[in-house]
Amino acid sequence: MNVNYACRSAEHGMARRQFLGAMAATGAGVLSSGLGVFARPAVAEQLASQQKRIVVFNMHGGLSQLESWDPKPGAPTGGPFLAIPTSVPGIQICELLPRTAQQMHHLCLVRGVNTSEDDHGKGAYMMMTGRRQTPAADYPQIGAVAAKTLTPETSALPGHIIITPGGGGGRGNDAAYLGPKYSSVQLGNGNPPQNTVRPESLSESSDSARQGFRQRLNERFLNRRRTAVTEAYTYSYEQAQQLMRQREIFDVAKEPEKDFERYGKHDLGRHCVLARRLLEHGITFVQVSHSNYDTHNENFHFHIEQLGEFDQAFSSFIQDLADRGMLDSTLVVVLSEFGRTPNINQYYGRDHWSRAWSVCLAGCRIPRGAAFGKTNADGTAVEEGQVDHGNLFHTYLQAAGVDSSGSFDIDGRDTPIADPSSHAVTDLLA
Amino acid sequence: MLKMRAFTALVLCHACVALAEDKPLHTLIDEHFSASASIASRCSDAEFLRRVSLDLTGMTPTADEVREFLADASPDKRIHLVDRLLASPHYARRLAISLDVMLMERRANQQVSQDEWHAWLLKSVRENKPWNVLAREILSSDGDDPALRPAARFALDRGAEPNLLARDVGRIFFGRDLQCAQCHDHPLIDDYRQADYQGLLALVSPGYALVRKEGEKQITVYAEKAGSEIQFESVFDKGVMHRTGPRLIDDVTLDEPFFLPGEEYQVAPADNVKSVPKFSRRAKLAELATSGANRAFNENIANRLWSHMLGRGLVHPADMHHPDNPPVNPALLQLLGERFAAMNYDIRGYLREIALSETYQRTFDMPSDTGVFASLSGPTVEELEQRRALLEQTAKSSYTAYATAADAWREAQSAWLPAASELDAARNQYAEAKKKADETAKALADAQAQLAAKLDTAAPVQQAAVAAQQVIAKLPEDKDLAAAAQKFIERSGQFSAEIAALQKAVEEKTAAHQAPSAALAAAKGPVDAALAKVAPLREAVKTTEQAMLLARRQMWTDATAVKAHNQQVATRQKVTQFAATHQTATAAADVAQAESQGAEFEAARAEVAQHLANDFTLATLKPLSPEQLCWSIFRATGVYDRYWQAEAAELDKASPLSEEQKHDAALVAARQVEIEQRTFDKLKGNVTTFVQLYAAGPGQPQGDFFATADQALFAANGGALNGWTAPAGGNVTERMMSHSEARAAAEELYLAVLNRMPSEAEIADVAAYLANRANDRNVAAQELVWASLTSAEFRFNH
Repeated sequence: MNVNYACRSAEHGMARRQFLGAMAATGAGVLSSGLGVFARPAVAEQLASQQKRIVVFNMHGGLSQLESWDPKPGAPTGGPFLAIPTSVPGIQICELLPRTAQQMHHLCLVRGVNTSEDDHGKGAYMMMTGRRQTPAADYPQIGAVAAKTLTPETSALPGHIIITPGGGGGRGNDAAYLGPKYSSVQLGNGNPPQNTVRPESLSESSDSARQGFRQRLNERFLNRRRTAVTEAYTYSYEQAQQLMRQREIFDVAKEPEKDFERYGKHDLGRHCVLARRLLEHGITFVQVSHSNYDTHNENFHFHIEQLGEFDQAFSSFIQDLADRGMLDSTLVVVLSEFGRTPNINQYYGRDHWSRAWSVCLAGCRIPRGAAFGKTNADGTAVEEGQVDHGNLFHTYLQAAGVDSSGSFDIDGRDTPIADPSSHAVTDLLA
Repeated sequence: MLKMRAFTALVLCHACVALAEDKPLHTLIDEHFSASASIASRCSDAEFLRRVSLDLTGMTPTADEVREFLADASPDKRIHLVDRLLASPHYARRLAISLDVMLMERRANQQVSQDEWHAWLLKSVRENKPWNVLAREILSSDGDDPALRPAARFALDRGAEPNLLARDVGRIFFGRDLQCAQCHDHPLIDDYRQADYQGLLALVSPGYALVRKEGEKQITVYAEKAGSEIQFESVFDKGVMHRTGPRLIDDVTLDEPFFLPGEEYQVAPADNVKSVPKFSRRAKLAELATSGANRAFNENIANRLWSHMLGRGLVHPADMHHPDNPPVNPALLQLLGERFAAMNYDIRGYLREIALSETYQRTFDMPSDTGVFASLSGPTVEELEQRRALLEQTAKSSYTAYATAADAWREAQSAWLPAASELDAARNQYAEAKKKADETAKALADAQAQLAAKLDTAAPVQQAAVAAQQVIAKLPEDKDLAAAAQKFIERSGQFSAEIAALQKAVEEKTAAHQAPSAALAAAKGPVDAALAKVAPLREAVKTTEQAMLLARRQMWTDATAVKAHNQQVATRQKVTQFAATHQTATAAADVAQAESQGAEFEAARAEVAQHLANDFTLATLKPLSPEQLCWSIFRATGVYDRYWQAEAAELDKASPLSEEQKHDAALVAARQVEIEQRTFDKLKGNVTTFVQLYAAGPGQPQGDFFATADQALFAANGGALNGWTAPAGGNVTERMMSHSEARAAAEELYLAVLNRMPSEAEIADVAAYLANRANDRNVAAQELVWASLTSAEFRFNH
């Protein structure tokens, strides 16, 4: 790890480490987060080898559990589709996911989810933060928590990436008290982060000359006074330069053409190839979104269409992670804000349903080829293994090696990482 | 105990304050830092100008201002500068933005537009509205009066949510974040009690957002209901109920008048109607907080304005005031709170005093050699250690006193609770009885009204029937008349029957109302009895509460003294140790020398500097706020002055000032205000980008510094900085290019961007940079401007 500091001498690297160590010990400065492990190459390498990553597939609008992970063929609520066998004997899923069924030995179905919240916004908040929304406090999303707990401070790459279906980009407002440092960097329709290309009017030599003079000015100034905040500020420019150098990581076009064929020639396919690329390059957290599952009308037609895309992209993604040995260090979560009603309405639709629905997990400490929890014959209630958003949030973190019962130190305030009144599901942690 | 307390610095300082009532506040501030004065030195003129310009006007000075200020030989020039800045239109702008961020923490505008809100704050600052008046307006406005509607934004744009308001009122107006005490006593902070939170909640919980239709329009106002006492239990101690009425932090529970159900309102709540309770807790909160007597309220704002200037509160973070996070100088904070209240919460006057203090004017440089640390005056480390023992003993005994008082209060509470519940029950029964009696009373009134209406209609018919009978007696042959008369007589008979029925109904309803009416009268008795029973018990709660609060305040003071003292000792030890270990020059003259001293030395030096900065012995490096950064970049590049001049020219053309008017100071000042407003309006759109990148998220504390790659990428590759620094319109880049001499170009750059003269070494840097760039001097100049704008020296206020 090259710490690009001032004259780049080894002494400077040392100085910075010791300096920051001392700063951390004073507990001084007005930084919102510690910089204690700022520049420690050895530690960073060690971390990299064991570093865990998380990828979330957010099925916007509410994926139907009955048309996916928990089919009830033949039941009055079952709908028209069949259940098919999977690569794990005894576990069946909906026929709309034939390729995913062949990856079942890597997956773990959580079929007893009960979140008791049928509002899109509130349900999404609970699933993403592991807590109920409260008026007087805001909580960071799983991506921000992952970025803070799993990303080495030395990383120039952002730890929290959201690939959004539409265009746009910029910084998400999803880190709450963890601060903007851990907010998502949004890749609009999979495009690289904003401002990562040098403008045409600026030559490379011109840019490097001015960066050099900036560093010269900083040397003089910091010789008068160095603090945690000046370090953080000057480091952000180094980070930016490293990010520009590593910009290719965000360029999905660098992936082989045949992968796009395998994943499907559509946005989701491309976003999943990009997610794989980002994870391979050490990005801690990636969220992929697939819209829109809010099927109050024509639930079955929509699920044929949507899950057709998803099945191809997701099964290829899982297969690749497994083949490349990344599943041991990558937690995969497929979630929604809620499921869909067992009852089929007069428009052949299903409505919002949070009492008995499913989440699909894979990787890290999650058991392989398993189905946990059970709903009744009509799928209207959880019979066994009931879990909620709080349990799941703890479980994700524990699976990725984070002690979810720990706390963040936020400006002197001890702030629990996950809802302290909840806990992880031990059966989901091998 | 008093004897022991005489040892504390606190009391000693207090004594000297009492002797020096007529000393200006800035002198008193400096007296509180006299111990470290020997190792602190004054910042340079250029540093002072940049610092105070940023703090008071929100942007850096122009190159011309720097030149003038440096050339000014007047000994009072710093005072004159402060007064000039405070009188400039930029002062109001800066403070309005600062107050906005403090009060709303960049929450989204929902019910009040940003323009309306900002304009109201700006007007308030221009009028130098006292803080307590401003706060009273914010805490009491319901948003109905158009003049005060913006003030209601505090509550309305928090959705009138009681828990959010309780938390933010506590944090922003009293410096106490009680959130963790919502469901139990604070697990980590002894002095944040669940009862404090619930008392504050009781003050704001009657408030609600009322969406009122006014013709086509809808307007949301912050209405208020009649409040009741709040019952709560700790999640750690379920089943043990507590109860509180409305209570302000640092104050006793309010005495509320008792109203029978149905008698609580001046205007009762109804559809589309803003209710008005007879007793408004909101009005009481606003009144008590701002009366001048609430110490937490006074110290909170004194501390926040201090932080506005010094970059760090005496209590830091500003909303975590408690003994485990004590003020750096508890006596000073108390003094500032008292003095600020005594000067009628005059914000401008208070900021002026801070700006004039030596404490504010200290340099951020470490002393040039360790020798000065030996000259630290005040007690030695040994003496400090001895004092600690005394302080701890005092704190221990005041804790015991508090614990005793708290037990007494809890006992009184337990005695009161059943009686309070009885009163609740009696009140509920009365409400029930009243509901029934109201129903029967209404039935009776309806029947009576029907009867009256019927009698009214029947009367002319019956009179006509009598007259008709007389007519047919006189004209027995007239068949037509006989038939008509017959109709009247018939109809009259019908009316009589109907009236009889209605009379009967009235009798029945009268009878039906008798029992409920009696029951209501009877229900009053138990209420009176319960009230009588509660009164002495409540009185006992009040007395013990008062004693408990007094003891708590003492405990707070003493615990604070211990902790503050320990921090002092720690700093003192650090400094002494550092001086003993490194008896060499501490401020290296150049980079090479600093390197030669090694990393360990550098880290130790930085650590000591941080301690000294937290103590206000050295100036703190303050990150520019997103707004300061944006406006300062405009200032430094020359964009701002170009827009200013264009606006000024346009105004002069549209409405020129006569020679005579140009000598009218008031008119000239008004013109400046107008130009500033127009320039602001033209450029303000750019601020949004800076806020998005450099500010914390909405509703999050806005004081923490963070630096991210996307900010640096914006500065490096975004259109904004590259555009503003391109040579054009007499901006700094163009001005640099106009000088063939590197020295002059360097001066132009340093004066405009870093607001100081460059050193010889720095001139040499610039000369070396430009040496081989004769062919693309414009590009080179732009590079230098960009580098200076993105340097740490520019990013921070120092």
